[in-house]
Amino acid sequence: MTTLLNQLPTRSSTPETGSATSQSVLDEAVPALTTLEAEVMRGLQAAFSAPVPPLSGLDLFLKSKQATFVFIRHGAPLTPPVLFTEPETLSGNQVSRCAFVVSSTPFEVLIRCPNDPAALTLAQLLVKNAAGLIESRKHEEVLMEEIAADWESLSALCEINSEIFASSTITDGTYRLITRIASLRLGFNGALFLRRDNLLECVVSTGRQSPPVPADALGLLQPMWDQRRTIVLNKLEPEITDEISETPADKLVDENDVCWKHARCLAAVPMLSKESIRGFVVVWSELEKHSVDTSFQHLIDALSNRVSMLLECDALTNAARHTELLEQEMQIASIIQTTLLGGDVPADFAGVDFAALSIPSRTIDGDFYDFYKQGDDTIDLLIGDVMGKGVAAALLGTAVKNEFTKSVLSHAGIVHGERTRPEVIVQQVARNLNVRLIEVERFVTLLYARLRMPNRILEFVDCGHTETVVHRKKCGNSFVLRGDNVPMGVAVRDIPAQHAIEFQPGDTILFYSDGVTENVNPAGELFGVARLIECVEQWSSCGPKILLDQLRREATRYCEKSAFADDFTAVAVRIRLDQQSPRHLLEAEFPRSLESLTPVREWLEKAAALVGSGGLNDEGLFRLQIISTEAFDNCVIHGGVTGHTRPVRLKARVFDDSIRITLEHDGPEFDPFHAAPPSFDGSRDNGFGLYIMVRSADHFAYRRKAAEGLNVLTFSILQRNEEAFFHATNHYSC
Amino acid sequence: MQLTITHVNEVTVISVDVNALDASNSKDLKAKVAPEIVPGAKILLNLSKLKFVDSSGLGSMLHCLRQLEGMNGQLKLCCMAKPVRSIFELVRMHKIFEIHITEEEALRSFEAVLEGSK
Repeated sequence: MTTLLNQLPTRSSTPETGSATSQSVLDEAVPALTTLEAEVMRGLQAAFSAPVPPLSGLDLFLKSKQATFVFIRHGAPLTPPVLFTEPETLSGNQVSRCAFVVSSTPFEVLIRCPNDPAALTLAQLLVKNAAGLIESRKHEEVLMEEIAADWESLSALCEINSEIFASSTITDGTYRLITRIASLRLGFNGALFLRRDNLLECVVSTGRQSPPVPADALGLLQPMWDQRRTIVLNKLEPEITDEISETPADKLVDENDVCWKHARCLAAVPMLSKESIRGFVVVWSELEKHSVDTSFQHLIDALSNRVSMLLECDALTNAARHTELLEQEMQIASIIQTTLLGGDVPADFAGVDFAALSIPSRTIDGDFYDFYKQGDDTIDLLIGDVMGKGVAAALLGTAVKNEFTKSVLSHAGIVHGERTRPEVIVQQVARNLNVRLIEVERFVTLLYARLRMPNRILEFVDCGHTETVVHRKKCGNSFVLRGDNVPMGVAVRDIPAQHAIEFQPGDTILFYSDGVTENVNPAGELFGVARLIECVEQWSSCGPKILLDQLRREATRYCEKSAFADDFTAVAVRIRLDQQSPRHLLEAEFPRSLESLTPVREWLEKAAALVGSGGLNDEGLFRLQIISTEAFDNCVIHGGVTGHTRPVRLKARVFDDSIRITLEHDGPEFDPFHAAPPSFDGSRDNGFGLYIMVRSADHFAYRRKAAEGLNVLTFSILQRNEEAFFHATNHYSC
Repeated sequence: MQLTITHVNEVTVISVDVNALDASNSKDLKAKVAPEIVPGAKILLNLSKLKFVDSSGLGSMLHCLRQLEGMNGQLKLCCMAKPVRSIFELVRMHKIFEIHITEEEALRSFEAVLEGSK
């Protein structure tokens, strides 16, 4: 706001030439007055980030000068003039005007002020200042919208923030204000004294510097201090001797060298805060002909009030620095996180399901992700993590994301039957960002991946990001992907290169930020990649959304807190099983009794034998049977409790390399995904059923047919390589 | 449920003579093994006939294990078929139970007083 105050309005006294506003327009305008006033107040509050006292300066003048303020907003649609005081016919040369622009809209303020031209100065100042604050707020809003647009906005926003919040500007701000006050009348000086303990120190003076003055030794300024009111002294006699006279300026205080010692007139205004008195502003002139008249006193009052607000604001800001400011920053960061750093998860990409999870921490660190659809059969994915904390990191995240959007757009399209390789897209971003990141001493780990569906190729460029976890149902194992590029912002010469792997139906690919694996439990142990892989292996059959839900639950349970220390970001991709058209469709019903378990397994064996290439192997058959047995167990148990006895219906859809079973039974709705996890320490002998089902299946889903009161479980088994017998990888077990 | 119970020295060897251990017969297993669970008992479950175990089957074996351990006894398993072994591994029960590949190996482990149980 200091810079805004600096724009001292040009003083003009142009006679009103346009037609006087008609009374009807003025009538219409009165209600709009409230709006403008509110707008002005909002602008002030936004700028001060604290409640602001009423525009006392303005009020003062309206009362004392019978001034009429008319704001006219130009442009389309033309808004009616807004009257600040009673409607009054504007006439002739008593009207002064000044023009200014708020958010590209030209405003004109017409001021009718018959008595004092200083009123125009102050009114213009106050109004323009308020308008400027509104503009600044609007500017900031625009900036927020454009954050992703360019790098420059980022620094601009940082500047505004630091200007509002940084304590270093308080000196500058008060100096400008005091200078402003002093310059209202030629030949006047101004000074600001602030209290430190029982001493008043001169922090700003346009005249000579003053030594500190004890608060109880202010001489004739003492009533100002004691009674906390503005005092005005005129016709002071300059006293050369040390003799006590009636009103010697230099006897006002015990010290002989105060800055106002040669004053012939002065005004002193106390700086009041809620409970205490912070200091005072003193304005004086050493010229005999000068005096402080009422009008000037009001000016001084009004502007001193500004100093007061500035000080108050500074005090508040300081107090808020560790609490409110943090909250505020968190809010901003959280908005950035949810609106700018995340991407739209594609819902309609053939053959693949996507899900994303992003939980900002208290110390947001700018995780980001996005998806870029490249036609119907290719999709790119970006995930990254800005090292560092706070809004700056979050903004940096959006800036990086934006660079990617630009790069992706500039490489859109197919040239000679080929799309631009992911590494080329990343290289362009690296060229644009590396130097700048190094300049601001930040770096960004990221991973850019491309899924090419027709030939089932995953290409990825890994710039120092966390290892990507791949769980392959076809083999029943998991592995991690890792590139060899350094993070962006580390080395200018590092040219990102891509790697590629084949993927298969049933694969789950998990991209994540280090907030996931570096989540710490109360004992200080990391969540780690092994637990992450465990979680993927356990839940990937249920699809990416449930996988991420469960990952969040798992991680929350692990760290025993609801808030994560770091941003928690994960993007899960699941390649659907190839189950287009079944070779066979079988159906059967079984009595709801444990006696059915063996017949069910026999029926499943027959169905499994129909899978292509000589039937489902032993490994697959075993998984099929154990899932079905557990599912059947469950419905018998629940049936026993609730009295549901209708037979259980089984359907088998047999494909070339997989089989899908649907098990339908009546009974109460249940939520298979919120059961307590089993205990693996042997302390409980139940609770393994769901775990075994979900874990063993290559695809698992539960749905409720509410109308019919049916629970429907669907699960698929994929023919695996014989050597990958059943159990998932143990090379990562804890 | 068919069980064959033999005694080799101090060890009670129980052969679980069924194809499948599931919710339909796991309670039966618990009931039939119960008389053998006495203080200090050394029991070996031979699972060679078993081709299929579900979570309730696992649960019944866990039940026996905990009871025996509470009485200063021992329960060991042997001769697991691949699928049975795999379900133990899936729920990490291979870390809870002492599992031997052959009956002979298991019996020897009971003899070696200082060795064995992990």
